[in-house]
Amino acid sequence: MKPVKQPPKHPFPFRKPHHGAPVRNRIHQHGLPGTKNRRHDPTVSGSARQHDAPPEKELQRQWVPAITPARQHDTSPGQKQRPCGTLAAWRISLAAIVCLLFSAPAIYAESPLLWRGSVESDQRMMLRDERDWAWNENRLDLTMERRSQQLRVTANVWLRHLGPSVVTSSGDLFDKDRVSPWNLDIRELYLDVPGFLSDKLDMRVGRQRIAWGTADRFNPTDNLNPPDLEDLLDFGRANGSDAISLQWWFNHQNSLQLVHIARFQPANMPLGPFSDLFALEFVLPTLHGDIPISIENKSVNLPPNNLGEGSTLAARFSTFILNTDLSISYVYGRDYLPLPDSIHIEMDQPTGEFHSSARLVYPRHHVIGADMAGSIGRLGIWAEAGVFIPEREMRTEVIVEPFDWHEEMVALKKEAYLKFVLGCDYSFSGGTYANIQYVRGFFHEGGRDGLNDYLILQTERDLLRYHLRIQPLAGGVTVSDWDDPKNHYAWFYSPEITYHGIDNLEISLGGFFSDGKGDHLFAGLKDKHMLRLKITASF
Amino acid sequence: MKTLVISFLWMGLLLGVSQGPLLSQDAAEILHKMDEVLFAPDDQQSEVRMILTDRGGNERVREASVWQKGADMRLFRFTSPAAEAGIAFLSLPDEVMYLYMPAYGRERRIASHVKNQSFAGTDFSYEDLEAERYTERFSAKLKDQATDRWILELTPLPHLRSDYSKIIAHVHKENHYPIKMESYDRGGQLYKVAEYTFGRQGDYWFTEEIMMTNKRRNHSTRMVFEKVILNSGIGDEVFTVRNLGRF
Repeated sequence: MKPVKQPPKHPFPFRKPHHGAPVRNRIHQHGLPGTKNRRHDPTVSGSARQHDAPPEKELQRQWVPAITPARQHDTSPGQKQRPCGTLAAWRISLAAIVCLLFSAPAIYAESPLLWRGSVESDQRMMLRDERDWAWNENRLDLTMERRSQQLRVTANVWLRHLGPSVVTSSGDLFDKDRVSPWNLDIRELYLDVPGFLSDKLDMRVGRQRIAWGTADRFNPTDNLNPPDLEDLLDFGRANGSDAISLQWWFNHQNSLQLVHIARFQPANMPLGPFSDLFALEFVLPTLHGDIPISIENKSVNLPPNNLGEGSTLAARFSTFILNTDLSISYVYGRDYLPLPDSIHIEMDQPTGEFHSSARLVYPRHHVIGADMAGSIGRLGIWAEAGVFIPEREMRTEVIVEPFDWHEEMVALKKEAYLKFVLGCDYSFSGGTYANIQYVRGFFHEGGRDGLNDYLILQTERDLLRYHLRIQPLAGGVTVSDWDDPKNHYAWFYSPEITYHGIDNLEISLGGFFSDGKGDHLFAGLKDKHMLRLKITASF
Repeated sequence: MKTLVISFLWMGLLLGVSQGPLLSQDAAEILHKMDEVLFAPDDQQSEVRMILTDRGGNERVREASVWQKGADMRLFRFTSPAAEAGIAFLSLPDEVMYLYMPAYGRERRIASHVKNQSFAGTDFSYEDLEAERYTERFSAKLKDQATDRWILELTPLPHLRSDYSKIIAHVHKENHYPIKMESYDRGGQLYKVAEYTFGRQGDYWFTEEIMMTNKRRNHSTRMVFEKVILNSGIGDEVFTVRNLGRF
């Protein structure tokens, strides 16, 4: 079977689900020909399928706890895995340091240690097949804070039991971390020095969330923290970055913020039922049709951990003019989602099996952003835009052996592209709140030809003296190809009803439903219908 | 989110200066005097407890710290219950409002559509709590008077949008602070009744308690103001976005 070169296909317009998407779709977004979403391709060959992970492996990949990260991702050859017990000890030690820091009486003799947090149980069940559990999480969310007049130290940690047992061998039964997976996540750990050196200067140093933008959860200018894609239904979540932030206040309304992030940290991938959404695939064109090949081994080539390659620089000027909040921003950083710079496919001729590998890199880019928020009459309005300028053209070298098929494909052109969000909200006199946003380009999309349009709607209404809140209409819709909308559309719907009739207790029951056609993420979620029960107690 | 958007402009009601008794005045004068009483101090801060009581007598409590300067700069931070602690609301002139939620780590601009919404699940709407001077929002007509009070009928000015068709205001004849406000909905039905208790600190009157009863829902909210400090010289920097996230 000799592969035949085909002209590059038109970049596939991917519709992104409400909740993120990295590797696989980014290939499409950036117009790399020859790649395809395996799930929706009925032409997939038996030999290609042989590389799919068996069910047990799939389960393991989906739910390996964060405490054993080396098992969760593919590793480069020779890369040594850190024993999970050692890692656990390291994390516990770090937590102990945090506690010591907060208990330092000499610094904060005059201030108490403030604690606040919540305990949350989040259980989700798939509505199809065997009613599999889609998510099992019990989380202690703890924020500690000590402050004096000129210094404040804050930590936010999550201690979680996450997912089912990931036992695949009898030896695993001796590993408590695999029998009962848990993890400790330091979400933020920073110190604030308001009025540092000058009354007009605020400094924040440490792991922190730097949330830029005025739109509601869809923020093209929010590029300083890697997306936390672990739970795709918790869209908008981001990991903290190790940063130093200096903000100079010219007056009460004008400020300039400078940010330096020392080390690059990529986005983490989804767990649970969405774990395979972003798998990388390559579509091999042949005389007998396209053959989608799931890339088995993906090595990740993080940028060098030095000042020049690993760091991010950013600046933002904010002002207030004509009753409107305005800001402009600039970020010199990297895409938090990778692109393949090489794909190597080798066919084992006796068996017809394909072996594949890829190397993923995180391209540099500049982002020039602007956002505003204000009102027209009683209507709240906002707009936010980011112009993304790749530092260089991103090419992917594809080698298929033994057919001597070698080609370089453009994964990301060196041309600027614009993502933006327009939104508004309103509260009706009957008590209903509505929020609608038009989104051009999801966070994972890139390249002029890789952006899509989304309409996101959210409504809320309180009932029974605010004991009950319902979200009857909450979801989004997208059409990825307006020339053929019937076959390239997707929608998702996530209604929710929440009871909070008891102080500090919130019980919510919701669902996630979606459908679509076409080769994009939203459509890929069509079999992922699920029910969700979440109970949160705050203290 | 909307339920958390707070407009505690009612803080203006805390303030007041004892004025000499007036024998007769027209309605506009009375309303003007009431404004002078309500907005007499330059600034004030207090701790507020909001006790919500439903028709079954069950109570829920909200607590917050409040800072106000003039008639249109206010900062409100919830301190209890735990689920809402840290949420802050900043209200500035020209209906500029921001909400800060610790979980998101950023402030969010809020438009004035929230005015008709309940304030933190209480029986006060944002409009009820608006501290803008009454003379700038209502035209007044003297409807009646009793031994201790004038009874005014307040009608929203034509250019203003209000959820009320009118408010019947009972104004103390001696001190000019409001004793009771009866708000009628757009259909002309009695909707809410607010009853005020005032205290005195030096030359100033301030609100000690407001009992707001929602006649439609048979639900009430009692707002109690504690640790009231007047004219402490609160700086403008307190009422800034910069300060919003500091908690």
